[in-house]
Amino acid sequence: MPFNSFPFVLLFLPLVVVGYRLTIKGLSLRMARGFLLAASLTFYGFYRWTYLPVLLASILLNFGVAHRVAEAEGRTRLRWLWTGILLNLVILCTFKYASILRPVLGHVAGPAFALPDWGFPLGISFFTLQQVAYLVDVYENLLIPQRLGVHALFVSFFPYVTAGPISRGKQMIPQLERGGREGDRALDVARGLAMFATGLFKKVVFADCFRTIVDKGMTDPFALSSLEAWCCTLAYTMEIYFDFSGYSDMALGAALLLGFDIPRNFDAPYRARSIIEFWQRWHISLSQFITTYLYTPIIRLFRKATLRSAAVATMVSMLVAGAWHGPSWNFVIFGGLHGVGLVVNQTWKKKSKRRLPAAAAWALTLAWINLSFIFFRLPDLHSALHVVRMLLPFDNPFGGSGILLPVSARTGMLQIAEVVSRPALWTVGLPALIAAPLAVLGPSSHWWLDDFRPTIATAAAVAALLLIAFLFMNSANATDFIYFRF
Amino acid sequence: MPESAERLHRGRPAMSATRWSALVIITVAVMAGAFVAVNGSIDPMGLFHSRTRIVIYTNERWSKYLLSIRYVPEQFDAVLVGTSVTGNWNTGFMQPLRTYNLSIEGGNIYEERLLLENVFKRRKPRVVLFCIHPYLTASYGRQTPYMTNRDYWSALGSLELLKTYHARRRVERHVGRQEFNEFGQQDFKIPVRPWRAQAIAGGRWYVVDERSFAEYGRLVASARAAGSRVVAVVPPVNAEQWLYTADAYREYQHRILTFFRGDELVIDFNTAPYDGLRGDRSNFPDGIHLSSTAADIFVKELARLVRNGTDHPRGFRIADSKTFQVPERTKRQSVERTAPGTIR
Repeated sequence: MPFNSFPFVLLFLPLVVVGYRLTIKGLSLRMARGFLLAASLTFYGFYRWTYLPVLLASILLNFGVAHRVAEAEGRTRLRWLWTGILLNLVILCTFKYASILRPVLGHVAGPAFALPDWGFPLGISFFTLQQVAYLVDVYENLLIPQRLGVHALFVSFFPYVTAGPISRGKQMIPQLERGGREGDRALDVARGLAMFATGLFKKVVFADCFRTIVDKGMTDPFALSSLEAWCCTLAYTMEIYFDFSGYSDMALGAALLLGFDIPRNFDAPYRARSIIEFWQRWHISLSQFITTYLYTPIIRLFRKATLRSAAVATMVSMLVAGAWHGPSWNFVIFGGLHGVGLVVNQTWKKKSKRRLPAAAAWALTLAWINLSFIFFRLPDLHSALHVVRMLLPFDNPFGGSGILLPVSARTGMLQIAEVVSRPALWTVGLPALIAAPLAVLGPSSHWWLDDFRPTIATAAAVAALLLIAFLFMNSANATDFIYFRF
Repeated sequence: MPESAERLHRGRPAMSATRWSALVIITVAVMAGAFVAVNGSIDPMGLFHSRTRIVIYTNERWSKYLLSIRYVPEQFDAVLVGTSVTGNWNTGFMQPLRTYNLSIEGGNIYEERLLLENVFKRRKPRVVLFCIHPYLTASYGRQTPYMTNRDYWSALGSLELLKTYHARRRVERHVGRQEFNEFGQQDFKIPVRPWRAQAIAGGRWYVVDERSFAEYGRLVASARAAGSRVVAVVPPVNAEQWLYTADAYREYQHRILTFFRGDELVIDFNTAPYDGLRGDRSNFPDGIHLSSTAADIFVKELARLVRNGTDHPRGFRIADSKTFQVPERTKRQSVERTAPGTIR
């Protein structure tokens, strides 16, 4: 039951919101938490119920280890922490990276020892990281382990269980114990509705339109001309932003409708003028996790923070972050490119007094991000390198393969008349033309949260967003979220 | 607050958050409901009302999937299962057997099964004509995101529906061309282009996907089990291409004909009586598909053969007293006047 489906929007979400509020008012907070836990597990099981035992096993394991960490003292405490972290990594690797080991083990040990294909439980990368952070927080006495019901709800809470944002225990658990955040409930519902509508619109109108362009071009990347390669790669850069930030807005909106505040994940990342700034605005919950639980401990290992130790810590962190996305060298290269970008950025900041003009800094940052996403999108290194080469207009700069753009074979000019006559211009091209400037110049959708005022104008805007989103949602180009694969 | 947001709020009276939420929900419910009601009453795909004549304007897969739910089973006695090779066959010539052309451009037997299942759910057709062409079994699965249960609901309001309205308006204003007729025929208007038989013969349609092949057999069996008469139709291949592919084609044909019973009619247009038509390059503008004129000739011949075959009380037969009359225009080669169908 994805967020961008009618059963979720028209049935599940309203029922859970109403049911939760009624249970709190009519029965008890404990019953309401139980209701929310049951709803979250139903939501998760709806994708594939066979993955539910994996989620439940992970919850029970971390619940047990957290209590051991809290009760133990001295070195035993540290030992329990490492045991917990290792077990989490084993679970993650078993499901996520078994595809690499399977052929190797089958080749070495023979078919009798072949690893079975367990599939890939949805959200495993997210709820595993969330629980690793939880264990560390318990170890550092930032959290006291809770009852099983609260812990289970903290991990499986439906707005974030499938693709984040990775939520910290110290933010979520007090809210879960109180039954929501403090503040005006009615205003939270209104803000949640606005946020959810914005996210839904970003996903089903903008992201899915860009996906149409990307899929058409990336199906056969070797046929792309330079012009088409630029169109395709920029379209993917836009698609992934609107897809993931749309999902995150919906998660935030759904949580607010229930009265909970979960971390913000995006803050207009394509307005960033450096890679450092980009990671402060893109997948914020992951970059905060990496900074806190990976980068900082590595820096501590060096005992002294220097430019060199920071560079090593940055590269290691970003390579791990890249590999976290999946068992592919392309993801490692994606992480590596961002690592290099961050190191160059840090060094420039320290060593040089000169600052690039704002427009140049922005363009350079966006170009680097665009380059890295080529490796993120394409399935193998060969095709990714080919598309990178095609970005340089040396051979076949405008030549019409005709995959995306009708280009005159004689003049190399775009055939505007043919583009205009295509219905796709209105259902794909127009949304894309509106979305791209919004992504690079527009505000973050969080202004709904910070500066929201209930007026006729905002009501009309949100109603329009929902109506247009429903129209697109009911069409065949509505697809799953990109980050459900991770 | 960003400037755009400030502009949005300036001078507007605020309301309570509860009232705001209620206003949004009621507005969306009323407007969406009205939109759905209007589309439901227009019902261009005949899902909610009985329609006697529906023409496809855009998106063949989406449209034929929806038409196969109610329009086709209610209005037709027979269906033609095929690919683009039979897509421009005007089955209107099959009268009095009202036949709908379910062929899909670039379609495979998996997609054809989805259509046929819809038809059978409502009413079984008297006759199912199965095109025998390797392209039908060259791939497996849906080729597009269409032809799912979601399409049913998209008939109440979706981009596809809006595109249909738009295309219909263009046709009515004589800006766009009417490509389909009410029998599901798509008039391609194939541009004449130079073609080499050798290049066409090397196409991917000679690759057989075994899942698709098995699916073909299951579909023939299920049509037969439902009580429909099944007819195998081998569409004509141009004579030059035939020189390169006859063996492979016959081998494929031999394999797929095992799905048909001995008393079922097999109409093969790659036999001697049709050599004249097949040898005329102008009948195959792109080397693969028949021109509109040639397609009409073959469909009329198909109608005659099926009519004779189905008239027989015990099933199909071939021994037709009439013989195929080659139109004057195509009498360039001598044509052997023998009975055109073959029965096994």
